[in-house]
Amino acid sequence: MPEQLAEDREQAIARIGKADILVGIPSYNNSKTISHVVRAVNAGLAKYFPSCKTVLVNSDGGSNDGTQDAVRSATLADLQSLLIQLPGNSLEKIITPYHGIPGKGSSFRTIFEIAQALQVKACAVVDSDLRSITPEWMELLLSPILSRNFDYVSPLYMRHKYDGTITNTIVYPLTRALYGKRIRQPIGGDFGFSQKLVDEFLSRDVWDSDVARFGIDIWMTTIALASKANICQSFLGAKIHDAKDPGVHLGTMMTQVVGSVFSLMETFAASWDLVDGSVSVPLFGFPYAVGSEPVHVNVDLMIEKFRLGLRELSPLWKTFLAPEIVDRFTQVGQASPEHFCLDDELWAILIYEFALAYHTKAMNRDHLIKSLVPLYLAKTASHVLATRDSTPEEAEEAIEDLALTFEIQKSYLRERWRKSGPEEGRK
Amino acid sequence: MWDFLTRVFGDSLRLFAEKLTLFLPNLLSALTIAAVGFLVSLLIRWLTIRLLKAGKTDQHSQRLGFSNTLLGGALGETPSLFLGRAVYWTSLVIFLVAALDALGIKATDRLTSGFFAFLPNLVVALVILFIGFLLGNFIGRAALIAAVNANIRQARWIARGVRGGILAFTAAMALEQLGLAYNLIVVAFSITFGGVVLALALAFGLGARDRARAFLEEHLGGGESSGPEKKDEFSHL
Repeated sequence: MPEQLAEDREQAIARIGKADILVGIPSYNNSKTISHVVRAVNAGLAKYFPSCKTVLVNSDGGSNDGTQDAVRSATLADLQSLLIQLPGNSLEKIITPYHGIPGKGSSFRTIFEIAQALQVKACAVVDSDLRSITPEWMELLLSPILSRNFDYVSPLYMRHKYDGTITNTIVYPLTRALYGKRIRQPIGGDFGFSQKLVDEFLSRDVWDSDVARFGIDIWMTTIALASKANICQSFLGAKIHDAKDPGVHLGTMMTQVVGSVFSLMETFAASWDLVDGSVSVPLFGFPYAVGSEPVHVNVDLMIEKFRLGLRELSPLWKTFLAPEIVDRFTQVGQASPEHFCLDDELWAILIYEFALAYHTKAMNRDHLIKSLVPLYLAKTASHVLATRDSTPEEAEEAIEDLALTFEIQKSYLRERWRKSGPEEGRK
Repeated sequence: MWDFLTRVFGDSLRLFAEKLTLFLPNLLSALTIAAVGFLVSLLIRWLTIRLLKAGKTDQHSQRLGFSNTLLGGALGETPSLFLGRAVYWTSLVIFLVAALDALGIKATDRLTSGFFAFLPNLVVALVILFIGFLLGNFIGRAALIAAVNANIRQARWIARGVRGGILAFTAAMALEQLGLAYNLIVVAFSITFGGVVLALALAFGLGARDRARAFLEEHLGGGESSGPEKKDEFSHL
């Protein structure tokens, strides 16, 4: 980072001294949406924490579309029309670029550093591309930390039944089975956390890994889980946001998110090894149904991609998967689209096998996770077909069933994991 | 007459015996070197395999895409056994050349001195080939996975092309290192490589016009892709 910018940041921190609440917004070319997010944060902090000293940090990745100017100029024109009681303190803004690998994780690191320097009591982060954020999100993300002694607030959204498929089919069931807590959106993107967790985050040297990119969300949730932090969920309503960076391919997303989950399994093997079953965590907010528009999903294309993967990548999979497992999903590939079904048990075993292969370094890890993409598409297609005529609640039940299967199959993972060392491949 | 024959054959036999007396120690030396070489080569092979297995070479090779399964059985054995065998034969050939040298025959002298002068280049060429082999397999596998994930039906051929290209490139480098028909290699390689690139460019431009346009529109910001496939409207994360 240029010295001048670092100095500006330090001067801002010195000027503010200490604060009660910090809200971080990572950004990169989000000028269209970030003004709304800043205004919602401003209104939320003014409405629900009028007596607190509050700071907004925009950690920007070098936007060239005027994102920083949009943050600077975003103000609430007339607070009196919004609030009965005017806040005692106005919102301080720190707009700063981050340093390190380009990505959300590096951006969060800067937010954590400023939060630590300002010794804030509670911190929240929200995405800069949100269109559905309301002032109430601030209360829901921060009050459990400030008033109820929680350390980590995970978001709970009402999403379309097909939205967040990596979360639904891999990250949620796996995290729940591993660490025993039912956190529905472990990579939701909008979190609240305490100073204690900020210190915990900054004590770990992970900023050159995938954590610096898309892996940051699952990393934060896992650190909270593994450090036995007091965790809750807050219902935030619908999550409507711009599509993630369209230039990022599914394989890259998978590598960063699933790679981070697998990598964290190694780091915290002692934490999850003894966990059986799962428990729900306290929920704040008022859950309500949100209308969802039908979305286009090309199931046939997903099945086609799976079959291509089956044809071309089977020799690769056979180097670390047992032949009977390969046979089982080969049979799945032979089924007609009407009967296409990759069942939950096979999927759970597959994910555990990939985690084991990652652990034993049976193959280059990047190749390993990218080779999971066709199988993931098969599971997604299978889920879409199975829930095509289902209500959102029924689709949610299907996800819960899948998560339960992961819990049941955990003994399979545990047994295999204990037998294998990091240097021992299957063959 | 008898005396004449006795003298002629006697002299010849004496001469042969003298030469044999001079040659026998060389022959014995050569045989000894060959026998010792055989035993030493066996020992080296055993040691190499043990060391490679202790170093988990087979597992590491598999991770790098250098496993027998992925090579379609081309090696016929594990990499550690293959390398052990290669080291054995290299060692044996060196000992056999040394044994030939020990015979002290002019014709073999020239052969052995040429061989030992050539040996460093041969070793470097083999190292280049080995690295090319590893690199070809690794990048070939990456290309295969990327092509499958991009739903390209010809994924296997793309991967083979990538691997073959890297292998051809390293083979050309190895041959250049050996100094074999330098000009011929450069010309052949340039023609082949240029031809392949031109063919691919034509194939992409003509045969995959729509895909090329969709790709450029997507990556150079020329607006929405006009491809026939409607994109999925859900978020994976």
